[in-house]
Amino acid sequence: MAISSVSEGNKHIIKIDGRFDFSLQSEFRQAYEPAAASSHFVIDFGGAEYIDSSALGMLLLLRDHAGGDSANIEIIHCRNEIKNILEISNFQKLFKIS
Amino acid sequence: MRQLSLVTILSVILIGLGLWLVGLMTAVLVTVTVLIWRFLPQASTEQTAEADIVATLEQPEFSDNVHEMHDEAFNHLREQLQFIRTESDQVNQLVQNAISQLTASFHGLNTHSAQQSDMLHSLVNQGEGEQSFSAFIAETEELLTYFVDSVVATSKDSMYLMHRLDDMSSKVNGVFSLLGDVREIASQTNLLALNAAIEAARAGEAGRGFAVVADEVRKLSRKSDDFSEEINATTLDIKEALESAAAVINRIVSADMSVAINSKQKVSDMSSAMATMNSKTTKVIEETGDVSDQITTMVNQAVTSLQFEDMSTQLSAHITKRIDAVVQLAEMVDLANVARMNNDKFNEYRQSLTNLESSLEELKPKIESVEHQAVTQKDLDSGNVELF
Repeated sequence: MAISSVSEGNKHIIKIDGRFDFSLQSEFRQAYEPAAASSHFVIDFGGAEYIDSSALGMLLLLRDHAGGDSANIEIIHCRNEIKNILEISNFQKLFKIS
Repeated sequence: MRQLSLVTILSVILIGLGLWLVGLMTAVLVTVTVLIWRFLPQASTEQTAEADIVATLEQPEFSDNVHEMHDEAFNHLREQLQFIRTESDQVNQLVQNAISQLTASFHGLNTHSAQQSDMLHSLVNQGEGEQSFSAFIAETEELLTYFVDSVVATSKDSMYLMHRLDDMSSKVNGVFSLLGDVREIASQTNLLALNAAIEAARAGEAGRGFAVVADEVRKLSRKSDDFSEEINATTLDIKEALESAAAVINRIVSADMSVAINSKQKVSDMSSAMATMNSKTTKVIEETGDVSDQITTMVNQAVTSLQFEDMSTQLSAHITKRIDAVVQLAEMVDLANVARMNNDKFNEYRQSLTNLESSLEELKPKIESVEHQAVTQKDLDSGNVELF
């Protein structure tokens, strides 16, 4: 499984491995949709090697699901390439990136 | 630096000329002093020797000889003094010409240096090229941000569309299972109609009407089956259409963001390289400006140094005066000698002595003042000298 999700109380952790692209769209949606909008979402990119623009779109849809501006989403364990892509897209203003 | 070495060379030449003149003067003065000492009537300390000489001089032949030698020597003296005067004037003229040319070329150098400095400073202050280039960089960065923003926005909308397509797809799958139910109902209806037909046949004549109804029910069940097949086919078409739409969305949404990253990096590198180049250029221009200012200062110093022309002209005038004094002295000595030979000219000689005395008195302060000025003007840097 390229995507695995775990819930710990209010915390909903989604771990992504390999390439995060269009092929994971359905899986990723299924990973967050069951969780409540008020959850504290944690996206773990520790195993992610590559993301494309569809992944950025998916993250923005997750943000909408989690309440838009009131969303509480953290993106962790980014490698430099991924961090660069997130930063050039100004995602640091929308998500907590580390 | 080149200008300064030029000044140094010229100064050395001019000082050399001055020294030569002074040397010449000294030689002339020594010669004249020796001549004067020789021809002046000797004091009476050596009475016998004088008597001998007078005795010798009274011999007409010897006396003529001495007269001739005396005249010749004096003619040479006059001639040499005249040469010294002419040559001294020539040297003076040469120095004046050289100085005026040097001054003119230094003024030219100063003007060009100032022009160069102005041009460089205007280059620093203007900086139009720099502005347009940074504007270009800013525009490129803005464009890149716009591109990234629009890619991200498109991705989000497309993924939203994709989710809706997924929803439709699952609904279409629901239609398939419903169609299965419809087919099941049709098949059971068909079986029921078949059973009804069998029972109608068993009833014989009484079941004949019912047999017709059972047959119609079978026909309806088959028609229902056909309909569900058609719906199935149409729904399959819908599913295929949804899949091809998803494929298109996949193409739209899957942009490689590393292109944007690379472009941004390149723009950023270019910007910093430009900034480095600009700061280097500014530094070099500023340094060149400083050098230009230094040249101006040095040229001004050189022009000030050229004020020595005044002094050399004065010194030259003193030399001329001294030569005139020497000529006067020589004439007097000559007159004294002639008077000693011819007693009838004694009164003239006496008058000459008086003149000589007053001339000497007159000459004394002149000579002293010349010496004083020569000493004070040895140093070029001292004294307030205005620019030419």
